[in-house]
Amino acid sequence: MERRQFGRWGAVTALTPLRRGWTPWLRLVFLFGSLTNVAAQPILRSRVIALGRWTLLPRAGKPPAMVFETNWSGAWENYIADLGRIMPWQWRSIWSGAERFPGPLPVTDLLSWVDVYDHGADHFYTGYDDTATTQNVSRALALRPRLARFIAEVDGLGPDEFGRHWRRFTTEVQGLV
Amino acid sequence: MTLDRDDLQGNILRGYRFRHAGYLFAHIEQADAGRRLLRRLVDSVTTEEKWDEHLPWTLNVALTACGLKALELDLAALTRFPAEFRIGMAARAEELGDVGESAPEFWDDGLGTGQAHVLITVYAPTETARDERMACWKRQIEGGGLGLVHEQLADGLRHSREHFGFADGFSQPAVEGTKRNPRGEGVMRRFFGWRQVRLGEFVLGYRDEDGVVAGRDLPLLRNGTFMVWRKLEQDVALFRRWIRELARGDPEEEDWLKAKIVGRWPNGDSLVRSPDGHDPGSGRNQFRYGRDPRGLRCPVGAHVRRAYPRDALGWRTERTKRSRLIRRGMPYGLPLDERATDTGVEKRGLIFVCLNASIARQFELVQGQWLGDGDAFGLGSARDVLVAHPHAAGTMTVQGSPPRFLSPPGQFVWTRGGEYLFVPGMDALRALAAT
Amino acid sequence: MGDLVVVAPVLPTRETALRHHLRGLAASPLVQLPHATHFARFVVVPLDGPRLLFSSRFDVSVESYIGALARLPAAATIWCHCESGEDLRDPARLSEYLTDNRLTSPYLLAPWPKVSVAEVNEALERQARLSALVVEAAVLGPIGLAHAFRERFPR
Repeated sequence: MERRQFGRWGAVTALTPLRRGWTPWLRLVFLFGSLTNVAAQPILRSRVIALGRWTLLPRAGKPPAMVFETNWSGAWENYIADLGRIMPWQWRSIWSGAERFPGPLPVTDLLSWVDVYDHGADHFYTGYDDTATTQNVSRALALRPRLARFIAEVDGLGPDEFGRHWRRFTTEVQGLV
Repeated sequence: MTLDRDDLQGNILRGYRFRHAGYLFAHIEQADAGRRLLRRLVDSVTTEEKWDEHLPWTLNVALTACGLKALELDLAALTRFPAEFRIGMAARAEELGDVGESAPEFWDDGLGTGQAHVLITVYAPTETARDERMACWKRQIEGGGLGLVHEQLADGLRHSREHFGFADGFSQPAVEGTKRNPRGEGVMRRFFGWRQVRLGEFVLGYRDEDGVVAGRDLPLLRNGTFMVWRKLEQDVALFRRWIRELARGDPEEEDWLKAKIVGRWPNGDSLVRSPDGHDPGSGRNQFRYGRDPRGLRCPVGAHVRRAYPRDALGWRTERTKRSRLIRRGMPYGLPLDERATDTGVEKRGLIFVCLNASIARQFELVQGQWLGDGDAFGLGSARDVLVAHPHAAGTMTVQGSPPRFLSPPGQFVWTRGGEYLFVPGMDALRALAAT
Repeated sequence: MGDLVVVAPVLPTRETALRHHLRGLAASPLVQLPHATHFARFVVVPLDGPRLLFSSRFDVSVESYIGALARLPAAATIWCHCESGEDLRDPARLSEYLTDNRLTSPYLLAPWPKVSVAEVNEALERQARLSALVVEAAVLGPIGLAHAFRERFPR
């Protein structure tokens, strides 16, 4: 049984042989992806993914295999299903040349396919604190500069003035704490 | 899509409006006795076709995985049932937040132990009619290769409220094959408008939102559904004391706080449509959270917003449309006097019943990830204040200018038992009853 | 910030033992690295025979990370299950082996590409401290609140 859940983090390591002729297209897709984040916007906006990495594994006398590694917060079925629903053309542009890829929809077929080709992780490690999730980290990083500004802003203020600034500040950052 | 209403048990697509319910959990000691019981039951079962408001009572049947085993259902067929159904609710306690005093070892007798095999549910317009039916079936169960595991009565409160004082049960998915208005309760279309939720999200053998017909490989599943049955005890006195303390004796503030915690006014009006107070004409289910992304009207962590986020997770309802639940629960126990400051010995709460095609994708996601955790909504690990086991650092943010941060003093809802069940279609029920 | 993917062939007779070893690690050997790791994994994958995939994202150069990794005794224990023809217990040999079997990833997606592990953890800790204070603030007067804030967030 593949291991996919490690505390709050999920890990998928999907290894898929590619058909002949797909690699040059893939390199173009990846080049486009590294130049602009526009295609990745849905997945970044959803604040679930923490890492996505695509690597091509050379094989003697055959087209390469593609390794897709990802880490996210939450259950894998929801993650993959959500990705299938909100990023269908992105999936097709990368995986249409992968062995037996059924397409992003219906997600039932996609999940079955991922289940076959995924190897999870035999050992997983993260240097992040236990409270880390993609959402938490995103919010904590967004809070950082605001908190730094607030600390400077209230330096030396009396309690009443501090209180006024505090109310304004907590209203501003209520979505980040 | 042709719905075979005669094969579908009642109370799935259209809820019974009767105010009294009874639940009998029976144990099958001998397979033949179990089949005899089902044969006696089958002609009394209320189907979707037969149900109307003039019936003197209704009756429906469901089975646990242990029940199917006790009936000696073929192993090959049994393994085609979903894993979470087969292992049962008690084994999923950690995922569901049934920990501490809500853990299965503290559940009411018989529940979650594997002893409950058949659930007979009776609804009736009067207590007398309900009690008579219950007594009749209890006589059938006691002895002769069967046994009574657990019995539970439930009775609706005035104005369709539950014990915390909120109108309940009126917000349901607008399912294909019903007359419910999809606006707010269905699925958002790609460009404009709403449509009904596909029947297959609730009834097996029909196309679901993924375009797949679940259960098509096993005839036993056709026109069936999965039921989640949970007994949830409510500490009404503690909840009231907390609200009174927060509101410092101001009744309007109390109402406001309760509404913010639940996500609706006590009469059911939506905070999104009626942020400042009751608005009788507001169309209480016809709203979406896209109008209120920051939760300034209905807090992001409010109970109803977590239980059914609509478009709150973005991409219209694409990320939530597959986790809908049809709810058919009812309160149990006498209401707590308004002046009481203590719960006393009387127990009260909610018999939570929901129906879905996939327990894991629907109920367990809602319970474990949306109510039992806050990460999907950007709330860290903060759980639903109302029903979830409180996290040590659990706090609810009531968004506003300024915001308020609420820390519950303890747990308001305890799980006292539960089961995962299969509600078979009538043909399937007859097949299970056959010798 | 650096990324590393190493894929090495596993000795066919060592596949089960390697998987068992990796899954049985009670504490990650990567904790002992002097450089912080965002995410890392070891996975035994079947591709023309068993292969060991190791991938990691970290806060130093790839060369520094490989050097530090190769010096971990636990790393040699893991990669000794792989085909090499060398004594991988020698850090220099292991370092060379990892470099020879390294692959470059043409595409990587990371929501916070320029933030170190230490910065992430510090941000989380400050967020938690502020969250606790906003709850307490309800019962603190103006003087108490200002004092509590300055105590927890000194300038």
